[in-house]
Amino acid sequence: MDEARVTAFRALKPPCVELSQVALRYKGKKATANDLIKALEDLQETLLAASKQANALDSKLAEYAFFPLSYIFRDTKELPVRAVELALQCLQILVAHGWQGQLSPDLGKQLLILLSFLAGGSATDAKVKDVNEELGTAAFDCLAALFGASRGSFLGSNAIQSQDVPILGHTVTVMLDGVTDGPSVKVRLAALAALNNMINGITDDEALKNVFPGIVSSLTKVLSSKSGAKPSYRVLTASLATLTKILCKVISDDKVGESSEAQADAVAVIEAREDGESSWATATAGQVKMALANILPLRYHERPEVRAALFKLCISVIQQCRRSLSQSIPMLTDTLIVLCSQASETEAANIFTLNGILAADASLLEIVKSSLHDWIVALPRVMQSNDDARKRKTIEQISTSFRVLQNQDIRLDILNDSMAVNLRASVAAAIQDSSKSIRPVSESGLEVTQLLQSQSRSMSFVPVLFNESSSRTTMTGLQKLAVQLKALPRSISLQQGIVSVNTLRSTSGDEQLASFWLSLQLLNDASVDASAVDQHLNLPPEYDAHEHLLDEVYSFSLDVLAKSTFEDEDRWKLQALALETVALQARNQKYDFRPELVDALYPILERLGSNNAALQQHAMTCLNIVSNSCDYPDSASLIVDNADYLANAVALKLNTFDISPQAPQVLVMMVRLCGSALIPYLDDLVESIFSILACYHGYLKLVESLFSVLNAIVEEAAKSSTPAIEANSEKNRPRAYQPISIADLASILRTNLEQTTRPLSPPPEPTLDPEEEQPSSPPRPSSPPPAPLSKTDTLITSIASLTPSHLTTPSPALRLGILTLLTSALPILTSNTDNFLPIAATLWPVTSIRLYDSKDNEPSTTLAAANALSILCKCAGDFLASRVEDDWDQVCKLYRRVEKEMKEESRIQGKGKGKGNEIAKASTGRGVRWKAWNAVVGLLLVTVRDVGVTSEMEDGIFEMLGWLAPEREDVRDVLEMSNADTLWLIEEKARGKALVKPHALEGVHFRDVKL
Amino acid sequence: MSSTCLPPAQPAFILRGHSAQIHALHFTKNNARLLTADADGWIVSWNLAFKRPVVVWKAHGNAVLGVGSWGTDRIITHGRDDRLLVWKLGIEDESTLDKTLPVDAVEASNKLPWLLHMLTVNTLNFCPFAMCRDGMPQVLSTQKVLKDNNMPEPILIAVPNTIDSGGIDIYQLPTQTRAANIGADRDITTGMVMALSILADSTRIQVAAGYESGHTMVFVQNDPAAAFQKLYSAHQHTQPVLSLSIAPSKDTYITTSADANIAKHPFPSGKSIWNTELKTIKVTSTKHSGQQGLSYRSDGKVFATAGWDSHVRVYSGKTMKELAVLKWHKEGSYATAFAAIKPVTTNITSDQLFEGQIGHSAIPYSDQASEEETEALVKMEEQSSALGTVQQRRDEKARNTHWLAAGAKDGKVSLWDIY
Repeated sequence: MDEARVTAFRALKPPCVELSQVALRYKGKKATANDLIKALEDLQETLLAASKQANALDSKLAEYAFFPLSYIFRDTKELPVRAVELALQCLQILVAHGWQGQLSPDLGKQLLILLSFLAGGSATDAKVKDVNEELGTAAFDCLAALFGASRGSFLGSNAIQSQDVPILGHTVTVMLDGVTDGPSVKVRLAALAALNNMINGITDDEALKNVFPGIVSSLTKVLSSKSGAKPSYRVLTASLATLTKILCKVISDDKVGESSEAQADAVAVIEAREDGESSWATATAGQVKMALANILPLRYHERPEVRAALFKLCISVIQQCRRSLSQSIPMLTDTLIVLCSQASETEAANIFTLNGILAADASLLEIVKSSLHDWIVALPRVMQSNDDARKRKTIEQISTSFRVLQNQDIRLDILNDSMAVNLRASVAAAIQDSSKSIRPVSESGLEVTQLLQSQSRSMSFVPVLFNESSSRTTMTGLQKLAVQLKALPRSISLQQGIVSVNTLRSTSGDEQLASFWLSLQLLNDASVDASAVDQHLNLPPEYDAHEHLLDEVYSFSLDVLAKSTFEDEDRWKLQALALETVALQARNQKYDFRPELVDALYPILERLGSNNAALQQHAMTCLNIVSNSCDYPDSASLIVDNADYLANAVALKLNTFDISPQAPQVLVMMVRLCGSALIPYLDDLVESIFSILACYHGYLKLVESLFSVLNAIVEEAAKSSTPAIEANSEKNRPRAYQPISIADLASILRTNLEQTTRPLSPPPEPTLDPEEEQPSSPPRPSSPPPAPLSKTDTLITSIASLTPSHLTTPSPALRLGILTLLTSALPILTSNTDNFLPIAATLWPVTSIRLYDSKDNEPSTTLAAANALSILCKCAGDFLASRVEDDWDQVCKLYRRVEKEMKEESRIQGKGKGKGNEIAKASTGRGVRWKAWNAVVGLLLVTVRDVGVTSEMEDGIFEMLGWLAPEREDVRDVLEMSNADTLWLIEEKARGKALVKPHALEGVHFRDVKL
Repeated sequence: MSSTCLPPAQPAFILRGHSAQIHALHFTKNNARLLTADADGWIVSWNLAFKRPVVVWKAHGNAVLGVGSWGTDRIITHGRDDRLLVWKLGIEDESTLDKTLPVDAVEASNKLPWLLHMLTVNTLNFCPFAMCRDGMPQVLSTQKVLKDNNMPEPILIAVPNTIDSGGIDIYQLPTQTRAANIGADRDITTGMVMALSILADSTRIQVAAGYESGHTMVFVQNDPAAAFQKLYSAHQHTQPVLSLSIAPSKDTYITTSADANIAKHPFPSGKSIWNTELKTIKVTSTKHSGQQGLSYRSDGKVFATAGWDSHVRVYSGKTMKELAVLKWHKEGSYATAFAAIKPVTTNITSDQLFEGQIGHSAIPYSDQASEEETEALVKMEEQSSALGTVQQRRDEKARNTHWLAAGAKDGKVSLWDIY
């Protein structure tokens, strides 16, 4: 030990000597300030080195080293600041390591005065404003060391002499000035450290009491400073720590209590003083309360360190000043809850601490309870405000206090009612608030079928309410709260209060929405939790209560969904929540949910047809969840499996003339998914559709959507019955062309003799009865047993016979649609001739009118009508011969018209690229006129091939189509079949050959024939 | 009851699947199943909770005239192919059978329920059979055998006589013997028997019959050896009687006919010396001619008819006032059926009550076998309690709904949840 001291002394001696010499020389202006600073630095280095060795420095050495420093301190004003600072640093080392506790009171006081002066200027002088920052810091550091090392013993071990009080007072003032007005964080921190050390150091309560108000008020000033520059969090933390310390030291229950105990057994002499004491305590408590009230807003400080410090303060005060500061306790308890509610992961322990405290004191629980009540009552108002942070905080506070109270197993029954009411009101307010910023609901153009094909696999709902990012935290907060409420033991009555179906049904608007939302939050996953609890406790199933609640809400949801979307479009949020409930119920019941699909499936699908994209998305998600829960591989198979329910729901809707646009959409989707198997079940539905069509034929959109259903039905039916037409194609065909035999010629000549006026006799009428020609075929061909129509056929028949009356619709698109529908419907019907021919008879005039009508000069209509007629001719065969004949003039006129138009069009398009012949060939890249013309050509060909034509008509055909024969195989085939000779003639003509006049035959004179 | 401001009632569900007109409806298995029968001979058993078919089979080659159930698992069907068949169809048999609906079925499936009895009967009249429990005390030995085989109680079946279409034959099942015979009236030209109802209490058998001429008569046989006495005869209809039903109170019965009248008649049980002339209680002209398929609800408060004008009408059982007109079908309807309703009491007492009621039940079919059915179903419920409460509750709900089913020419059955 000595050795260390000797070494230290040896090391110290040269710099000390040097310093004192330099200082002297400096005084005599013989040395520069730099020399002085250098010497000081040397000393500091040496001291630092020495201080690192244990016990190297002691008070003797310290005094030795202080001696040269005293020169410096004597002339602080003349010396450069840097020098003084260095000297202070040296002094700090000396105080901390040299004197430690053995500083003589005199020296201590002197140092105190000196340091106070250096740090903050003299007590008497006006404040020295320009206290150097570094200097100040060093001085405060030094002060801290002074108080820390000596524990203030130089001021008297127990009591401070009265003459020293001003010195101490001044020091405190300087320190507080440093804290409040310090030019930098560093200074403030140093000052706080000094203050802290001082509080620690001083054992004299009286002395502390004297400086207590000043300290508290200054610290409060720092902590509650609202002006501009916010104090650094480290300053705040340190200030809070200091405040905690001084509060606990001065006004803790021990101190005040001691005195009251003392009062008990004290002699009467000091009674007066004790009175003073207690009155002082009361007064101070009031002051402290105000001070605390001012600093408590710090509970919302963003730095966790600050909050942690505040937490410590609150805890300490509650624990140690329970009685003395009783007025402040509620406030502090609140703060604790608030602090806990903000707790991040790292502060989780806080709650634990809090629980510990609360467990020890029931009165605190009452406080928590009442503040919980206040918060709950205030919640609706908070929710109405625009302050999102505040909303979040309030919710968190409620949540935390719930948790805390729950941990203490406090019955909260009394809170139930107000809780239910206010929660609902809050959510309503929040909804109102968030719906203020109305975003336009995004429209969706997706059709139901497209949606289903899109294969969206989403299994979770996008929140309908609070989906603005700002209010999302509010929502999660409320959600969490709801979950917590659910987890409460004996919470079922509370839940019943919230999930009251009466409320759901009786309220409207936002409040209804709020109740619904809350119910949903409460019920969400309810069964999971509850069943887990039940398993462990084997309670009489509380599960049932949940189940019951869910059932009630579910049935309410179905009611909501059952309402027509037509009138309810604006309440889509409610519907979306209802969809969520349905999904929830499905999740809970799993496979057992299947029968519920009777009522639930159609409403879901109906929402798929909504214009509102969000609702549509919701419905899609709901559908996914339901199909998943019910064990269907995907939503399509869900629909196929439950098509009967859907058909029922749609039929009932249509039967009441509920003409929402969704029903047809859903129907189309169903028909497409299920195919022809579904069609037999749709007969009454088709009936309803036609009666709606009859009543609302003026509403184009509706009519179009209904026809899209019919179209879908017909197309699906056609898909399953395509072979029918092929099998029957040989019936009712006209007689094929037969080259004229000699016998025929003879008979013709014979008739010619009879009817000389006519150049050609009409060919024999195509027979209607193919059976007559083949008498050996089936046993009872003349009266075939009328095979009963299948339901599908009956249905298509009724569609085909009821549809044409709508061909007069003003909408070209619809006309087109109907014609297409007929085109696909007709082939299905051919299988039953008795049934089909009447339809064909009625269809011909209405359809052909569309074709001839020059007012209806839409090429697309012409195209569709020609196609429909082609099919009709193909199916009906020669049944239509007379009708075609009657209409022949019009057909020819039509053909000429479309040909002209076609040529005109191609001329414009192709700039006279080649002749019409070339144009006729190519089928791609042609205009609509060409297509229309092509369809008419097709019609003519079918007429020739399937219906049969008279010879005059045949002439017309050759006239019209002859020019096409060389280019088009199909035309050529038909014409050849019809009359090969004429075709030959035409071709010869086209080749430009003259007919070779045959050699003269005896008795016969050949006239010249010009081609 | 129904206020005028209500919107027109809508059916709760439409059961689609028959391709021919519906001729008969019957709720069975304690309202868990609805049997529907059509003009092509098809029978469909529908699960009312799911509203889907569970068993479909072609029972007859021609139109079915009537359907009934006997005990827990026997179905009686009566077709125009001159047959009255008894099938065994318990809940457990359902899974083994076909359920392709007639609309979809290309040809009849060969999977039929087990056939227990076959009676060759007269079906020229279009008159459906009537049945009741045989109140006759059984010969001890046979009874024992029956009990051992877990057979339901014997029943009496009333059908028109095979040769004399104005007469009535009464058969006993399961013995398949002709128990009694009522000849055609000699004084009045009644024409064919059009509708029948039968009731038996210990040794007494009461039969109500409606005739082609519009007459209706009540016959009573007070003990097995005696001949049937005609106790009541009335001629309130100008057209043939179409349907007839004894009220659950067993003191009156109601007839409907092709004319517009509905008549309520007394249903005497024996000849009173003092009052020889029994009078028709009430005749209401409904102005809707052609009502048939009359059915009483088990509590007797309301009854329903199916009208040829396609409307189903509900009448008060007491005043015979029209309570509701149910419009949905677009073609004439032929059949109605009410689900049996339980008195609203706790489970056990209701069972007992039921038992008591059944002891001298008056309703031709629907309640006939409820006693045994209830027991069986209770058992079934106990077994299925593990299946989950959801399912159970749903079945319970479907069973307790006051269904009214109506079947029409369009092959559809509408289910109404009213009253």
